[in-house]
Amino acid sequence: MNPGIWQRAQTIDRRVIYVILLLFIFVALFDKHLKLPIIPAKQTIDFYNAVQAAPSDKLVLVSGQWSPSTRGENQWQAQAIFTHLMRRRLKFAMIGFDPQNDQVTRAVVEPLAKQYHYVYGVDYIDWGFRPYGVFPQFIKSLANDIPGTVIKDRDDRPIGSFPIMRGVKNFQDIGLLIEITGSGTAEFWMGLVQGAHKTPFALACTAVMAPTYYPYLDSGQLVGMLTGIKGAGDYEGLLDTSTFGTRATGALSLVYALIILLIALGNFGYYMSKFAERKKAT
Amino acid sequence: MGHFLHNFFGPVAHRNGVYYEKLVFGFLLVFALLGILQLAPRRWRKTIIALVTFVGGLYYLAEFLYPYQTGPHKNPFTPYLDFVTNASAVITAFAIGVGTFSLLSLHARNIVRRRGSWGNSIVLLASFVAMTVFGLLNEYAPHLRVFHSKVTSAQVYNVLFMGGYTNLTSAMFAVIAFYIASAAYRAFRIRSAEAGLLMAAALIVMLGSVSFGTVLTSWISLTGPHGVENPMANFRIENIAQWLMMQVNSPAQRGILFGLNLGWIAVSLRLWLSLERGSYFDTEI
Repeated sequence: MNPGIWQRAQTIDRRVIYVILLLFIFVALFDKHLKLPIIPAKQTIDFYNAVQAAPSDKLVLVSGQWSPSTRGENQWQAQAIFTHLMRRRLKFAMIGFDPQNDQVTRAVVEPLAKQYHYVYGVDYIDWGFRPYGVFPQFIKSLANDIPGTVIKDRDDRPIGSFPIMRGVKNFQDIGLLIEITGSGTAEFWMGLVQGAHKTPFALACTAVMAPTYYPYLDSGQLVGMLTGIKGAGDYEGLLDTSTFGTRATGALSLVYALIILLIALGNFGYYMSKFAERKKAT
Repeated sequence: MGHFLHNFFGPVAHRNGVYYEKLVFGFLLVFALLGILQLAPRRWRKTIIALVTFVGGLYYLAEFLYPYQTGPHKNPFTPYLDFVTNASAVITAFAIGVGTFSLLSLHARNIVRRRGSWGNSIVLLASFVAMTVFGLLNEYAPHLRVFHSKVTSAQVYNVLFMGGYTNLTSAMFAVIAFYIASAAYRAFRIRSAEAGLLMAAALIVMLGSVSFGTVLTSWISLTGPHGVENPMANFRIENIAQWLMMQVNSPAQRGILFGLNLGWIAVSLRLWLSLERGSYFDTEI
């Protein structure tokens, strides 16, 4: 046995790996015939059921804590969530705690609003941006007095002048809270709002953040969770739609297969080269 | 007092006379305060900053701990929350201003002295100027024609932000995938029993997270012959992955969270009471 072969199996040039990875992604994104079955995760089904169960006489609050850097995951989660809300004709309010969130969320919501004939101020409202530095104080105050805390919408118009805000006083008037985030902010909502008012809370986060939130799924503080682009793809499957989220889930699947293959190859090379060295020594 | 503060610091419509009056007054007020702070003897400055930090923190603590409603009486601190919130946003904005000034002067020096990678500094300054100018024009004069062409300032801003910035930041994040693939291949070697355990758990969670993996065990039926739950379904890869995340990962995460939050409380206390030592705290750099 030539130990050089096994050594080479462990040291493939990284540029070769990049090209193979790129090919895998391209095939999954652009080959329309390649369709991998989607088996939704339990937490995605729970998220979907939470939106299905949201009362139609109460507002849904969607908090945005994402920006272009996590758009690859959060945008498609947002797309699926707002599609579901509008299909159910649920009234919703949006609020952002990232200065770039307003623009990226509006880029998702406005085309959908046109498609589903949602009217601003009647079916949905944008409470605008609040600095992240005052996030805990703001949401604590929001929980007890919504009109007194939000005061004006994104264009500085009094929120009381919009029909959607009639009768909305505090968090008892919010039927479901959804947070779409690229960072760890869900704990504030749970500690300051959800715990006190028992509002169902569903979270859409990036895949890298998800392991942190499993304890809250276990405790029931989160009623559901979308995990990264896989969560978006699963949700699209439940909604019976297919956009980039579904295609990206396919790409992710192939990329994971490649990574597993590479790890297996590296380890196989490692053990075979050790075996060859030992044989040579004896 | 609360009403006055709320009205003064509350949001106003853009391009309104009151808005510009408040803007100018706000700038003058802050620069006057900074000037007074600068004139104060050196040993007093730290005391003043520590005092302001303490009072600010005390307000938030008192507002947080005081009940929202006690009989007919509401929390007396809450009406000032909007004012304090806006004030802290203004201070943050000035801090960003200081950071921006520092960044620009550093890169301007790079260009003037032709230091290494000074070309990158030119790109940074040009991008900064373009985003600032068109960002402001988009806010205050969105229909302004740029260089007498048919293109408006709002359209240019949209190209810069949605076409340039968002795609560049998304691309930066996406590049990580390439590094992860390469690093996983190079670094993930089963050299010990612990590494083997970690590898097995990682493989199951990875396979359970994607359709490629879930298909492997999809032949195990979820229901038995009489429509009851099939106990063998627990051995489907996505269920094993779910079990690992909920029963193995969750307790570990809880432990980490407890430690993390205790540390957070300790750091917050040190900052609030100005006990933190080192650069930017008791040592001037």
